[in-house]
Amino acid sequence: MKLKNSLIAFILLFTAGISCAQSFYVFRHKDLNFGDVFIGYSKNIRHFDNGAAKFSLYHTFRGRREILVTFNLPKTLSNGKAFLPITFNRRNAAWSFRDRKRNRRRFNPNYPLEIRRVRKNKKIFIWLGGKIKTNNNLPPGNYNGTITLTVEFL
Amino acid sequence: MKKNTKLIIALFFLLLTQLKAQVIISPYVVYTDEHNKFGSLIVQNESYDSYEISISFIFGYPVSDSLGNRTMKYIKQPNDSLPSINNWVKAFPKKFILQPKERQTVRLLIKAPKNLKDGTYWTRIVTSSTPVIKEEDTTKNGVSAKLRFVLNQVTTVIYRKGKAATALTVPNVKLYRDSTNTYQLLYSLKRKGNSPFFGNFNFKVYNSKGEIVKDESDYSSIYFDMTRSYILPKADFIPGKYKAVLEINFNEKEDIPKSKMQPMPPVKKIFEFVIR
Repeated sequence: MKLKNSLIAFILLFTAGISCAQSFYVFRHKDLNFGDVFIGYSKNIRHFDNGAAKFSLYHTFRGRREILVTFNLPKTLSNGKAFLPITFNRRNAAWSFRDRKRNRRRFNPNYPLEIRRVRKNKKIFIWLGGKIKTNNNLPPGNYNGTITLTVEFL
Repeated sequence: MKKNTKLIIALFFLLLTQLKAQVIISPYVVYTDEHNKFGSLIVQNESYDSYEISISFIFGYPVSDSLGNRTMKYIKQPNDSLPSINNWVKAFPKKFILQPKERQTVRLLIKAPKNLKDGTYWTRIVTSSTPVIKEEDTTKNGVSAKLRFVLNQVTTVIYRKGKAATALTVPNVKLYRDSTNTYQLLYSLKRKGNSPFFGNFNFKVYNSKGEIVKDESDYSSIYFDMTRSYILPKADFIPGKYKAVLEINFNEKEDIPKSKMQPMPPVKKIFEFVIR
């Protein structure tokens, strides 16, 4: 019993400093990873595939808030010498209040996503995939790019 | 003992979920005025990775179209007619690396001209966090592709001069039926005074029996005139007479605890309509 009470006290004290401030909390669970792709082939990662990026976010303000999520998406990935085109559409992106595959709401990541009346501590999960198409002349190597995710209140 | 073990495991996972947050910024609105031109915000790295942080500013505010769809409007080079402090705000430091569990206080200084008119001026603070990762080349013959993420968290700094005042009116309400035959109520909001309006919006719809069929509330900021839409789902709104009541309560202290602005009286708009 003593151990239980001490643990509870410790957890409450430890998390208080983090949780009290009114703020956005954004979690990056996974980056978007296409893995290895054979030259000459394309690869499409949909929002429910393993390689899709995954985020979650919530706010700790009182009252419901409108949240705007915007992706700034690259058109190409690069290995420093060559470029690999990348595209995104509605099949690649989805969001949900629950961390599960079914009943996700798809959205076009090329446009801002408005999530309305989100209450305090309500988690929002976002998944993002994409499509790359390699041509036969593409040199082998690691191709990288950057996606900017902007989170704000409306 | 079994109970304790379960408790420890549950608490451990609770801790883990609390600690995985990336970079946290506080407060959401940094308040400054003509008497106190310094503000500060705290950037905390709560993750187990290092992040490169950069602070920048851009002037912007929420806008809506005539159907109440909202987005942010950003203006890279705002002219003098806009209440922007973009050219007068400086951050120290602007770029830094945050190691896991570290925090950094960023000081803001507003150098506003003296001949500024009374009112509230602002800009958006963009805090960008980029993970510091070493790239390793592991591919031999094929192509490997990976995208890393930069997170931009947008908060606000405001500067208030002299007598600041705000008010909101609702000149008209429209019942609109969209392409899916779903009805929406569109409220046009007119902002008055020289400052943005921060407040609670409470929306209720009663049917002809006086029963509540829709009840929702949220906190919102109205920087300029805009339209708010409320969707009336088909399932809840069978044909009949309804009465919608929108109550707006000024509540700037929610986001700006230091606010000294006098609260304005609540606004109430009643609108009766028929769903056919």
